[in-house]
Amino acid sequence: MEQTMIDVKNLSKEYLVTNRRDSLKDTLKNIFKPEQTVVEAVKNLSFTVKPGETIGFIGQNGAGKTTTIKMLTGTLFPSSGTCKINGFDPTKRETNFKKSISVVMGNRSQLFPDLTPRDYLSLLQTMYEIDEREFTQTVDNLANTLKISNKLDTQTRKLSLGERMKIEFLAGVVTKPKVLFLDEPTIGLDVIAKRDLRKFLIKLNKDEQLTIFLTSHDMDDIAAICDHLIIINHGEIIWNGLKQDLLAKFGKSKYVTFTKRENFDATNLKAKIVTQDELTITIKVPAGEVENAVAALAANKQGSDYQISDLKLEDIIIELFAKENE
Amino acid sequence: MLRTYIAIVKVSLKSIFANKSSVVILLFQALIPSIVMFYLWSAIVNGNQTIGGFNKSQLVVYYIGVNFINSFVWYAIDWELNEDIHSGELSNIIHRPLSIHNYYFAKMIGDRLANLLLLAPLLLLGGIYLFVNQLWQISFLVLVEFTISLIFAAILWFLFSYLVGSIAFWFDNLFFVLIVKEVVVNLLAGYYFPLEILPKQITNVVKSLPFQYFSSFPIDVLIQKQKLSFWLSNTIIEICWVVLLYFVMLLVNRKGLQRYSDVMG
Repeated sequence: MEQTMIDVKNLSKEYLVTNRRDSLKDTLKNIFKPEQTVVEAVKNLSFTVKPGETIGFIGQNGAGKTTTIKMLTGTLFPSSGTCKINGFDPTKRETNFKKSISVVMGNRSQLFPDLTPRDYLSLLQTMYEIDEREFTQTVDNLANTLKISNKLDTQTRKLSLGERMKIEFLAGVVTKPKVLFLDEPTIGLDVIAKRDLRKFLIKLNKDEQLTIFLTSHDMDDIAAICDHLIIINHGEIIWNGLKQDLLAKFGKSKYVTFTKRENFDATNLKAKIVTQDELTITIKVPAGEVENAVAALAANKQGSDYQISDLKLEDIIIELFAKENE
Repeated sequence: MLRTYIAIVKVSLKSIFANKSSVVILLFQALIPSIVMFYLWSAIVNGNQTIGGFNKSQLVVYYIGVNFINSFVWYAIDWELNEDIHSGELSNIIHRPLSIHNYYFAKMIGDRLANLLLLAPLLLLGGIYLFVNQLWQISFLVLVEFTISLIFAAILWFLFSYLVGSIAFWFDNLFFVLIVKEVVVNLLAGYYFPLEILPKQITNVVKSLPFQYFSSFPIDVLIQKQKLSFWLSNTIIEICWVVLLYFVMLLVNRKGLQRYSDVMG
């Protein structure tokens, strides 16, 4: 039987939300008799993750990504269904479970602003009962990879956002977790910091066989790091499979972008319009028909400056959501 | 596991010393009320006059003592817990291999130790002044009784304050609750004035509550030359309060965390 690192079965989460009203009368009424609505944040999710896999957990805002991560890490309890992480039930919050996971959230710092990163890391070493020598060596190696060796003794509040995030990553992996949960870890970072962190995670996954569960709105993060994608829409899974399979499924088409000419007429187009503005337009054309389509457009003097491109992961996911929401 | 909490105590202590502004604020916070109360009561009490059994020098010691106890005991765990629950910071603690109440307790110890270290020179000077001017004499036994009372006061304060902060698991905004609580508890603990000043019947009621152990009782032990039996009987009652509040805190903590995990996260 194949080993499973994350096993999720029919996981659901419902919230009761109190409806707020505008008028004073209704506000007072709400104090004594609140009007509440049930919101289904996550609906019946089921999936499994093998050890060493890198999962991209994708969804629009409010799709239930963070709620799912919170249930998998034991912060929130599911309304129904079960999940097992490395064999542990997160709702029991056992010490060994907590020691086997790590959570890094891009919008929530876990560092102590008044102290240095080394102070924080030292606390983790004691908390996770890691051998001091081994710990120091790991910190040095990882800090070197992340290019923050000279920042470990600087007061945290004096670090840049990128440096702080790198420390968060370092703190996330230095405890030697089996699963690393990352929620929007590169939010607000510049391209160089993002590149460093992606390289760091790819190396870590290869070297340590660390299971990575990543949510991000930055599809470049997902494309670079993840090999398995789970896409959710309104709390339900709409894709669960390999990234390559998704790219192959939607990769049979190409985008043709061109500048509209004076006598451009959209009604003459046989291809699907992806985006357009006053000057340019992008259409989706089957890969085998690109040449003919461009030739026809040129012959009919519809456009100029033709650019042909493959669909990126981001384009595919946008199409997937559009299809689901139709 | 104990090593973890000792490490948290150290981190908490270091945080205070790392921030120069918090050191300055702390010193002002401790000094200004003491000075104001000293002049106020010096003006009210003349010569050999007594109020609630306290003469002028005893009142001076009372206010210095109350502020000393305040700086050792009163840590705003309720405000911190309220903030951590509503901001979601509590999640950062939940997924660490820690017990939440032990974590906050260790943080409080570190913070209070920092206060104690910062105020130690001032307290030492104050003590020497009182001793040299023969305003205050103290036996070794009283000092031991006072130290024990102080430790229990810190534990009781933590439990009470943690319970108040836990209300945030169920309610959105605790700001006004916490403000009112501060005033009421300060009054009932004897921070504003010695409880003995109140009419006897009210004093009896107030002294049957746990709040007196936060300030009034330790300072009474220090300056009122009470009998050992008085200290012992009160300490036993205080321990009973500690045990009771500890079990209530465990229950509330469990229910609160369940609610946090059900609806807040």
